[in-house]
Amino acid sequence: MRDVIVVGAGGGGPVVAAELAGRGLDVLLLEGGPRHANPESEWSHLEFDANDPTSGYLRFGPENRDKPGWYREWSQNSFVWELSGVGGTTQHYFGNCPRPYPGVFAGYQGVDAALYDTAYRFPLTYAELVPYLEWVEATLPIKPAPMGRKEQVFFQGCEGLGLPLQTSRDTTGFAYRPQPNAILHPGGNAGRTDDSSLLVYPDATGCTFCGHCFQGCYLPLRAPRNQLARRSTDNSYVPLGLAADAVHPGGRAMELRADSFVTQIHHETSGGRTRATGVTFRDNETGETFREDATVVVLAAGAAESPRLWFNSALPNPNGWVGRGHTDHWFDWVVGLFDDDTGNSRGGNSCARVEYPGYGGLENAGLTPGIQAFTMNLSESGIRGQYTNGRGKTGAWDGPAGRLAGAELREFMSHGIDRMLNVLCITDDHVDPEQRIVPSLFPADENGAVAKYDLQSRGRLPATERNREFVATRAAELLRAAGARSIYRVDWAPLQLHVHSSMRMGESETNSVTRPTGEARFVDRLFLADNSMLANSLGGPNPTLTTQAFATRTAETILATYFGGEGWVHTEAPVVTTDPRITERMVSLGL
Amino acid sequence: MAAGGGAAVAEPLGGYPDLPPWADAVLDRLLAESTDAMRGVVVMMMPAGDPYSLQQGVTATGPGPLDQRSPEAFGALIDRFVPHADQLLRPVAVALMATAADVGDPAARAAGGLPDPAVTAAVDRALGYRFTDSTFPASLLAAILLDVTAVLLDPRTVAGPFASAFANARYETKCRVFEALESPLPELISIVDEALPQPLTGSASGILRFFGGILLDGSAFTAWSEHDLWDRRTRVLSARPVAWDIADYRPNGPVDGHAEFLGFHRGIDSF
Repeated sequence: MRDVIVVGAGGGGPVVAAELAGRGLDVLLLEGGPRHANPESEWSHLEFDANDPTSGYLRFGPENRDKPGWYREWSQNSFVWELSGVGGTTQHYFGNCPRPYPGVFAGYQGVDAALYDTAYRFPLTYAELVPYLEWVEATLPIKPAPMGRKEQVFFQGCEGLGLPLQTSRDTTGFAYRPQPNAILHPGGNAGRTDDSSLLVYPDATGCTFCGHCFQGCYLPLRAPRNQLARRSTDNSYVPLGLAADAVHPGGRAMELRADSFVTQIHHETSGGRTRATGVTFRDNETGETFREDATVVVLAAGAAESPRLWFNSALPNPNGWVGRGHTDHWFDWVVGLFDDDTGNSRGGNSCARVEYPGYGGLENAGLTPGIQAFTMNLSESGIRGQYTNGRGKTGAWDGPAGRLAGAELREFMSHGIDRMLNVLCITDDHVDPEQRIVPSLFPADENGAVAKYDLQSRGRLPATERNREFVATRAAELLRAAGARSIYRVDWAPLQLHVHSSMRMGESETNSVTRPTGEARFVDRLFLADNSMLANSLGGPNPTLTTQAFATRTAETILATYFGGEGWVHTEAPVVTTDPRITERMVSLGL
Repeated sequence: MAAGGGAAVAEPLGGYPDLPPWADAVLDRLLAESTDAMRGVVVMMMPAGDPYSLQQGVTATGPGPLDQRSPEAFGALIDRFVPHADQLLRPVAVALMATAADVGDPAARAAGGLPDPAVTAAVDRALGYRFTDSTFPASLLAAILLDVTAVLLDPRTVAGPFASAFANARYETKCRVFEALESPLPELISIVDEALPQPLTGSASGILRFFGGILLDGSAFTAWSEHDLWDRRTRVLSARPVAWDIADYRPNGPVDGHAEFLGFHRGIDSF
């Protein structure tokens, strides 16, 4: 019998696990995918090796790459790029950690209040969340991103538009700024050479500007796991949890078990109330199944896998909101071609952003050739010059929106990977009950019925449509101001990278799955701690920081509610995950 | 037009009797068609000086994806993408083949009588026999889908240098094919819906849109990456990817860092 079992070691689960391990609880952290214990030897800087969604090392599948990946159905033009493995999708995230927009929280009364998703606000005030945001920002840690060539070009565009520079963590109006990034600043030789022999820890520390965030971060070379530059949870909160006894008096190192897929959350009902009692998980390699019971179960399997596990466990869903209200920032993609170097393939993949509260935001995104070509072909607007698929909008960009193919794509790519600048358009997409995760009708796999992404890219809510056009237009204007010679809008089909609110937190029991405390509305002792519990799409900011802040808050709630403890965020100082005691533990564990 | 097809026939106890020689010939022809169709797709994403690019009328000088077996890598990716293809996609493939024969598709005509129901059943049986020990390749269905659509849109594509009608088509016709998948042609919806087993009947338009999307963005990703040139066991690149030269990427090969640190914008290095 465990104190706590956490299902999923992605962006949120390890936060709850590490924080509760620090308080001395017996915590088991289960991850369905691989534990990449030695990424320097297991990973590479190569695109297909990493991100082939079927057999890449950053796929949704078991550790053994000779085994097939796991299926997720999507019966529309879209693409799902969520990962399994310790670290989850943070294994290839860009480390961007902006705070959410205050306008999506209860009690907001700014002049722009009506622009936000007022029907589905967070059931607490922004001010209530700030201490938890600060805690995570110090723990990872988060700092303003350094600058490479692509940031210089991006900032030139921002200044050309007359945008003010934001220096605070809180967003209060339209502004540009360096990304608040969970990437350690360059030190020593890092960022100053391409000679690998000089990029060895500790002669190099922090970001080496390799340009391969999307392929996973294993730099500087030979660095202990918690000293790797990018603070995905496998490099930050997981080490913190494994060293909980070293950094907290009375702490107890958590147990991490990877390649162990949870297939059932067990529950019992008495007195008209249902409560979670434990889980069953399956060893991917042997097929053996195990059952463990716990006082509390934390569900953090991801925005699609959490509702999938809920459905497969036959947990109650009386209001029908499990899986509903899925948001994905309905990304779009606007790209400029330049005559001069843009540094597209070098440096942290995204170190600059623009905030457009009420509408969404923009960020630069540096890419390498395979992913770049992919991004130019994920479109709802047909092939430029050939067909529009009923869309093909025109506007501040050049020509109709759509894919680049044939001679146009070849010419575009031959212009040079470092003559491009990509702008990711992040839409404040409002919660729509019809955007949802449902059980697929395709045959089940060894872990049960698979998840289906039932998404629409046509007929989105009017506010969502408005916001997407707003940010896409601003992106084109920014690129023009930065000196682009040609500007393309791709009109992306739904790309599932920022995925949230499919098990949303809410005040009302009619349209939410998670209570304001983080506990499941219809199942006691079951808490939600991944992006699925977010109430909405945050107004556009990247979700990981906010999820981690809520996960910290949820850890406090679990300790107070079921173990008689007290909260710590308002009374203590956080341990930064680069702490030497954690480093020492990583070295002793061979990590 | 004959819709043909129907659900796949379950393998009888004791297995099937030996296949007639013509069935093997049909399957060989289908696999050749699939290879050609994948080549026809990939050269849309990276035209070069190869015969498939020449056939589509959109070319570029220098080496291209066929020099590095990108279409084969892409076909393998599609095959890995869709599991359970035996149960779900094989009946669709058989139904589409019936239509393909009806409209004169060269590979399907090799069956010598499709869409006669007996021959259709034999082809279904042959597909099951050939792929008894491996997953039915989704790329084969994708190829048949592309070819049927190409012939529906332009019957002249049945004639040409390649086994695949799609690969025989001009670039503009290929784009029309993708338009017909993304805004599905009613004929295609009808064929696929009728062949899909329950409970998926009625899902045709979604499946067609899925293939329309993944064939384009997946082939772009594959053709412009290192794909199978990297041996992950030996951790060696067998050749420098053509894409890297075209895009002027990493002229000296992959590196662990760059001398790219230009300081902090307006000196902001902390909050």
